[in-house]
Amino acid sequence: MRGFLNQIPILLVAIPLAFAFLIPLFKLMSKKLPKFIVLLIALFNASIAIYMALAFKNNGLNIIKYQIGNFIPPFGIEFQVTFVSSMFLLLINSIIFLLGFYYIWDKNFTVKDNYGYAIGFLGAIASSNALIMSNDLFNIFVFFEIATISALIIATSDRKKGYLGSFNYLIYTAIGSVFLLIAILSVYSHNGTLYLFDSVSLATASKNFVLVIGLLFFIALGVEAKLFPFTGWIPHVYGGSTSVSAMLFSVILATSSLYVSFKIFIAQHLVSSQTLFLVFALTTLFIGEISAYLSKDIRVTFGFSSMAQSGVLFAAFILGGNVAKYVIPQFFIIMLSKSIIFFSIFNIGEYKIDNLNGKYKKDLISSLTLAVGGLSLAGMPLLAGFWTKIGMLKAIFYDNHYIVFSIILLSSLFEVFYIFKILQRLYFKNVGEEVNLKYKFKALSLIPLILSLIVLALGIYPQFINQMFNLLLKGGI
Amino acid sequence: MISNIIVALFVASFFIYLLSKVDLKIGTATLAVIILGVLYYFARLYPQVASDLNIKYGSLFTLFGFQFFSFTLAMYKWYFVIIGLSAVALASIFAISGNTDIKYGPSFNFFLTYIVISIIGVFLAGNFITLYIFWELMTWTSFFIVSMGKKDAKKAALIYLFLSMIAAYFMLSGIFMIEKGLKTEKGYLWAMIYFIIAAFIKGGIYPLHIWLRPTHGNAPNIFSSILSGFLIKYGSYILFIVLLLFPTTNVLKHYKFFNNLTAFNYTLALLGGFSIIAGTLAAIMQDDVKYLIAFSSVSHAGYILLGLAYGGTFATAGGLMHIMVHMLTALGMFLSIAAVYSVTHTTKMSEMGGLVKKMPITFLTYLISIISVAGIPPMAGFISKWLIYQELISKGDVILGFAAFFGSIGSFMYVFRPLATIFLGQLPAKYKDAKEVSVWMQIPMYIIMVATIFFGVFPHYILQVIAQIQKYVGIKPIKTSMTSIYTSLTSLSPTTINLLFAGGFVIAFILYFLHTKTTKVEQWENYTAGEIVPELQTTPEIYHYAKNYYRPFERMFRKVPSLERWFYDSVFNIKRFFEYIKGILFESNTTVLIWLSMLSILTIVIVYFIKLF
Repeated sequence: MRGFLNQIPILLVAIPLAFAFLIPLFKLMSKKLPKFIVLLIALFNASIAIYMALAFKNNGLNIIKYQIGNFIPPFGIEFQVTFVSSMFLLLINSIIFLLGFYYIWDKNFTVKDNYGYAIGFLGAIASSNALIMSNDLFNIFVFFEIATISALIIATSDRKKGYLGSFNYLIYTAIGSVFLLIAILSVYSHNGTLYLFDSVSLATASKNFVLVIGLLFFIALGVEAKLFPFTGWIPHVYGGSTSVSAMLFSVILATSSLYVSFKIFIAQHLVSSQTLFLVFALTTLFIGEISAYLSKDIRVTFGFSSMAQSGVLFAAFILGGNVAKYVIPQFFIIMLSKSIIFFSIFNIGEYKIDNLNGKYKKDLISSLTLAVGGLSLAGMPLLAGFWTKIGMLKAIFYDNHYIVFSIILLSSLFEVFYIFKILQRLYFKNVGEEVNLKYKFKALSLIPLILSLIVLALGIYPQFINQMFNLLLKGGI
Repeated sequence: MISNIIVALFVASFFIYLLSKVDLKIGTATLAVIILGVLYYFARLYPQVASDLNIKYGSLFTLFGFQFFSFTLAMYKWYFVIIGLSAVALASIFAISGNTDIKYGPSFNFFLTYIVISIIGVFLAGNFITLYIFWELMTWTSFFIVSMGKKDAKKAALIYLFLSMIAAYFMLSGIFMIEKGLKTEKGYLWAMIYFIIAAFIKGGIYPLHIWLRPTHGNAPNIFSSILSGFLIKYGSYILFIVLLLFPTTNVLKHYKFFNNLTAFNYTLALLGGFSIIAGTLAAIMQDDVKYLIAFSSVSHAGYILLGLAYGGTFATAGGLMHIMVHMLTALGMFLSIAAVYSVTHTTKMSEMGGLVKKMPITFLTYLISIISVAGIPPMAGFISKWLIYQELISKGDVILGFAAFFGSIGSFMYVFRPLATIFLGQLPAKYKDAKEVSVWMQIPMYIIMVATIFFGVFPHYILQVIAQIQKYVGIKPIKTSMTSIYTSLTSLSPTTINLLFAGGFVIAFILYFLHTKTTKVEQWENYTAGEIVPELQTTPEIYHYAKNYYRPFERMFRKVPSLERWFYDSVFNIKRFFEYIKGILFESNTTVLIWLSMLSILTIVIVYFIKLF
């Protein structure tokens, strides 16, 4: 049993990657086949993730380690799965699986190059899984590159005209990977090993060295994790995005890169200057929220919102101490809420906030789920987001970080404002205007419904968050 | 038990929504019955509350070190809950046939159930975190209800939400400070200030009353009555907690200032006085009757603050009683206006007139409410204001005394305007066929009238409860008997006053009957002497005497800077500033971004080589 478990992690990466290269062959067989292949692989990945998460919960495992052919990095690949990362794998792969349905059946989803997109999608699946599990720096670089290329394919395929967004993104990520490489080299030159978690780390290095390495990693991973000032691409990429792309950017890739940056920062003790990183994180938060508040397109709004969320999570992570404990539960709930929001938005299919004008009847269920997701993200009571948010705020306050506390509250003022504005516009039509819409049931609206039922259940029974939370604290990241 | 009620209401909300979807009247009636049932449950707890100081219900669960959903019941909580539930119950009875102008009836009922939940939750909360949860629940549910209102309701709702969230976050900071444990007096002071800011915003007290006018003015009429009648009392409750339950006079004893009051309390009392004056002046200048009542709420919130902050037996009794009195009067005024609106579909005073003969019950409700607002016996409003005056006079406080009397006299001006322009005067031709509203809408109006007079004649019943609250918070309780109130200056017998008034009424009535009958003339036949000059584009409306009713008075205060305008201007400027920043960061040319990135690389590389070696 243990032996089998130890072999599993690689499948999460290898299978999607292998099929990504086979996509051209499948295309020859049938034009529609690549889409179904993606769904099948997503299903496969999700079931493996569930299996692993259950194994952790039931068998009391602490860690799964996997090494290809017992080669040390950079020749082999080492994966390491803890309970926390297994939960993240579960979350990501389940959402990818649900996304697969949108990929096939969403009517608004049209791209120029279908099978190129399938390759990008599979690449994103493989790399985000690998980034979460990887225990060696070189592989993080490799998969980071794969993630970048996939993201680039995705961003470019969305465009009807103009490649400003994807070009922007390309520049950022290209710079990012150079930085990542420099950082990895420097770490290697100091540690003499490429293992992320090992007996040696940068804890013994000089402070300035650690600071520079920290900054390099921050810049490299900041593009995909949406950390300021590497976020110039957001409005351009989200502006014309389709359901699948928006989800891949805001949930899948953002989660994995934020998670991997947490991992690197913890493993190599990179938080040398709390103030500096806090300034970055809080600027991310504030700029993200006000930009979201000013945006007129819902997709862009929530793109910026997801930037702000990265900022708040990163800030909480940097603060450390009691606050850091709340990062993981908050991370989870945010990702869940955000998936609900994006799924719902694309079901409703009306992207300009000013045009919403009481069009909830376009998709009743998705309108409801948008409310659930939005209220949860805004941290309104009796929904899951409230509990984690209040816990985190409490920890921040109790650890005497009053400035951080007030900046978070200030920005969440804007957050609440635009979320409620969108909901209000969606549900209430302008006085004097008639809106004649007939509700037609969409099968895809069941997807956000399932997720929002989870959020509602967690809101009513928040002790579950607490139990999870205690379990999570055991294993390490 | 309390958690059970809340869960039951939570389940009931969906049921009510579905029922309202099928038939709005039945759904609303069910809601009204449920609220009355809850009210009955709490009313029956009175003997238990009166004998036991603090009934504890225990908490549902502990999470992150907080005890969530723990409830207790004491006299002061009971008082607030009863007032709140009565307000919602009256409004929901009114809504049975009065919610026709609400476009989203089922959703309205659905959210109203949550308002009930939040009332129970906020006032019975055993700790602050529970209070906060239900406080926020109220914020976001009432946001959706306000959005259902008139043309500008959406914008108004957003302003309301924004300020409410500021209040909530200030309160959250205060809660964390207290839960963390305060050691110094200065720490207490800050926590208190945070709470007070929250209370000021929520309670609509000057200078943080900005949301009140647009929100009250544009919310659905029935909800305006709840909002003004009770939801702004959430602020009063926080004031009560801070000023009497903690209380600030003991905690901040080194800030002693004047008349044995702390500087903190006295500043608040002054702000209360200021709120009275500002609210009164602003109310006088409104043409829309709902805006007018909104500003009157500002002034009355000022009375409550003044009473609670000033301390002492009579001022606190007056302040606490005014909470109930204002609930009755605000409901009376707003519901009668809602009744008028259901007939005329406007709230502009200059478009109405002469409705007294068409809608006598509505008129009477409005009349009794405004008499109470102005603090004239034999209405309840007289007693509460009189108690506040007692304290101010006996302490010889000239400034606040002036403010309190100013508010009373000024309120004559503003409450008289709707009376004269909506109910009296000439009936516009279009309302020729107006009829009194249906019986469901009349029932709450009758109840309000009876209660306003009853508590004016027998204030003993309410002051008895208040005396127990005063005992609970350690203030010398007020002494009353069935017929009299005893104060340090004098004793007042409301019953005697009432008998005198009744005698006067009887005499006036006899005189009215003895007088010769007047002959009636149809008013439209000789309107403006039959002279309407079409060349001047005149309409009967501009001859309406409600137009520019207090023109000379408005001219006097025209130059006073408007806080609201200042607020909107600064919000606009901040928004422009944000847009500018966003433009630089995200919408400018790509090259700028590339150069920025290049610059960051260069910096890092330089830092790297300098610091590394």
